[in-house]
Amino acid sequence: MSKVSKAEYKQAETVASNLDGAGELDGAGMASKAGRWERMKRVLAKSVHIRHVDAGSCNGCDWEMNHLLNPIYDIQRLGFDFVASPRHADFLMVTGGVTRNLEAALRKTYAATPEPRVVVAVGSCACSGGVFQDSYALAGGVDKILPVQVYIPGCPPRPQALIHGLMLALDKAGC
Amino acid sequence: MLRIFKKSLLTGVVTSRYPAVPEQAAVGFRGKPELDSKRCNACGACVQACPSGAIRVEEASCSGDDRGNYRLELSLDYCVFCGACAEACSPGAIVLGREFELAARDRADLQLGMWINKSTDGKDAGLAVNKAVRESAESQRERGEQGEQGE
Repeated sequence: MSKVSKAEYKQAETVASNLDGAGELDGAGMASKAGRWERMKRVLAKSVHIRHVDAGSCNGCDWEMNHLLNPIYDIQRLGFDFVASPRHADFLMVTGGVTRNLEAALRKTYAATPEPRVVVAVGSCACSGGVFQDSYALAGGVDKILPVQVYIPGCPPRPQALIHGLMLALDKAGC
Repeated sequence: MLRIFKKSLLTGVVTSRYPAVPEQAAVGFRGKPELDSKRCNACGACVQACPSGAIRVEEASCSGDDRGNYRLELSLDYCVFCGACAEACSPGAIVLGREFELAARDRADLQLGMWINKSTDGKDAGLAVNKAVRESAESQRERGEQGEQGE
């Protein structure tokens, strides 16, 4: 077995962490939040595919998200698109404070979404449970189940508010 | 078919240019509640009215410099923007504004807070009212305790 120098070993580790980009390896700043954001911006600079998950919402937020695709708000001009499978998605937009019936499906959807991925909690139910926070049937917000990157409050948030939240997720918002 | 072309040419482009061009919501839009500390008297009507318990009013501390100061905290992550707090507020300290760009990366950024400060000479009309309410509540409590002791 040939001896591998320390420098070579470190270089190999850096290359490996760049390759699988799991975020768990500590090398080239991939594990840090800033490193992940940088990589995400590089990868997603052109377009973002969004998977919508309705985790037990009243559908108010779902309708507002639906309006994002109409000619007036048209998020496709900004590079966003909705896709039918989480396996094709970069973003997960979750509506509804997660109900018991949909918790398993939400976890499976999250596991099926390849990295880099961003979870956006849409509406007051997804942010915190909203008026249903004490219900036995609700987990009380998406961040009780999944790590959330962006919260968009509103009941329901208007389409412009959703666009602002999506832009914030990509770091392109004014704030 | 020519009719369709004519119609589309006459209609023009309806796509909004947000976010490149800022937009303001219409009058009456239920946006972020605006808090006015000058008018608030810490009566707690908004706390009672809020359907999701997004508002908390707490007395700052029982001693020291903060005594008599109240803190109103409004959590936008629980708020459903219904306007019940604005309706319940008699001095008009909470008013539902029109701001909708409220997204945040962290839930801590969604907490709004307001100090309701006392003024020593009682010029703050809001807290003067509250002081009277508080004193009457305290005297009622004392009378109740005396009544219990008597029994």
